[in-house]
Amino acid sequence: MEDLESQIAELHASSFGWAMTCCRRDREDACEVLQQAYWKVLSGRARFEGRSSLRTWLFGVIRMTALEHARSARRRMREVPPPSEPPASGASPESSAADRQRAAVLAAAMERLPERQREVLHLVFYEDLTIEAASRVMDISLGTARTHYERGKEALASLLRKETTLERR
Amino acid sequence: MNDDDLRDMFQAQRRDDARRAPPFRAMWKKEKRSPWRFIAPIATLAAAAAVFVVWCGTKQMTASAPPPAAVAQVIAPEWDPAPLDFLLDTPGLAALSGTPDFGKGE
Repeated sequence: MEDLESQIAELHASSFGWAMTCCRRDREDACEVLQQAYWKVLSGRARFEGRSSLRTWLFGVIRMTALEHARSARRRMREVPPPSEPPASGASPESSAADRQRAAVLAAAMERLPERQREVLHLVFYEDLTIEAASRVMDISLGTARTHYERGKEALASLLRKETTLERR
Repeated sequence: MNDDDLRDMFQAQRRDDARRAPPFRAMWKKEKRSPWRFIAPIATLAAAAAVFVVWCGTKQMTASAPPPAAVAQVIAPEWDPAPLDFLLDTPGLAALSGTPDFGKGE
């Protein structure tokens, strides 16, 4: 379990990014979903059986948890507020601000894509997964994942081009 | 906007997310938030409220109850004479109220 814990800890930043995408970039929802997914692992409700990579399995758990979370008719009241955002560290303030700005532009464009397209683009471009690995995380066929990837990439590029054109004006 | 441009934007988002990610320890050890977590406090509050209401009701009844003497007065008022005492004044009451003496006064 300790070995699993350390491996999951290494994936934590990626898991959080994936939870953010699964929760439409809502940080509080992402924190809650990630915590519930971890609880599933800790309590044995989700077990890693080595049939795929740990990341593929964990991302699948997070994705399912996010779907359950979104499906629940009433939003659960939060017992404990999610951890506050840690202060920016490491990178210079300029690069942080630039990253944040680009991230916001990307998030706004991604928001306009269908869910499946968002997911596959995140897994391929953000996580550097292959489309095949992404299809396993999303629990869809490779052909379907490829279709979502192509359509999503085209739509996202078009949206970002428009955004860039507007910014230049 | 080619694949490399897209990848750059996603990597900027990745760096931004990494800065905003909560600490792993804070997420890993926490207990799951059960939907039943509110039941125990609500039940406790309801029970306390019920006990309070019953206690208040009992206290109010005790406070508004008349003292024993007053109750006795309502049941057996000490009127003298009572308003309807005259109804008991029947003819020959004097003869009936005592024992007649025979042979006296002759």
